[in-house]
Amino acid sequence: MDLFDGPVGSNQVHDFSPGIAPNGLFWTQAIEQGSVKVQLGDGAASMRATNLPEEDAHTLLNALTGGPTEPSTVSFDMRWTGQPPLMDVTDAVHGFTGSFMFSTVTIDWSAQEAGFSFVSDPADTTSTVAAVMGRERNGVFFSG
Amino acid sequence: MDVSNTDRPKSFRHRHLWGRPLSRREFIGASIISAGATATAGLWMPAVALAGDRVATVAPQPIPGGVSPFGIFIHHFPPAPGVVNEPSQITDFNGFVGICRVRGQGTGTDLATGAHSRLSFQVDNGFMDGVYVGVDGKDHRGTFAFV
Repeated sequence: MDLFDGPVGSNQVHDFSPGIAPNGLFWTQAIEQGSVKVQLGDGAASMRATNLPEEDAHTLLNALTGGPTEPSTVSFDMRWTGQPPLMDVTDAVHGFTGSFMFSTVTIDWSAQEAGFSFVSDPADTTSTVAAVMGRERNGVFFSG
Repeated sequence: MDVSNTDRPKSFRHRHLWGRPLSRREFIGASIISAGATATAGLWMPAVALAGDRVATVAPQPIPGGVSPFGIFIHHFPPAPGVVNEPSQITDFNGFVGICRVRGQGTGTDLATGAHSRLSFQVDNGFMDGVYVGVDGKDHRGTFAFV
């Protein structure tokens, strides 16, 4: 979750993530079951979390190269709204298959760390660049 | 974060929250949930495991593919308009997924001075909710946030 003092892509000042695990797992952390709700048939999904512990690497490059970070927390309330149709997709190259729906997403989020806090504008001001939701199988559950 | 560069791999990994020292609250929560699980401590995901929560306790494996921003390989495919890139960050997974790239604005506050500033954001977030094969080789049920 990136913050910029200027347009997106210029002068990044914060970069919140849980970091990269020793096995390479990328910016992924377990959250409470029930934090995610999906009604794929209705084209709706949501994810909420409160005070997730993160690292603030301040820039993407610093985050990827393991530079110094500061402890921080983030909270968010995100909602996916599907744009039918539900599409069946199989990608044999990358080994996944499933049913997916392009979406728009809104987010309310905030961040806290020593000396700094951030609160996003209301969720309905969110601009979606790209979003998808769906049900998938990959790895050993992928059958081509 | 824009990690769309598709140059090929130079694997790079750095420390993760699971590898950092636990706070007192995290330690207490992890201790309660992991009672009797000492032998599998290396598989443990303590960062958000708090007392009473139902959170996955065995780490998943990353997807094998990915992209290479700055020439650094990461196990991740960024979301892009009009295409369905692999939306999951974890492999051996069967369940619901969502991913997005969204932008907006908000207000930052310098807590020392009280000064406010307008900031832009880009958020690539997502979720994975379902069954997965953990690093222990066993099936598990879990909910994960991509942050």
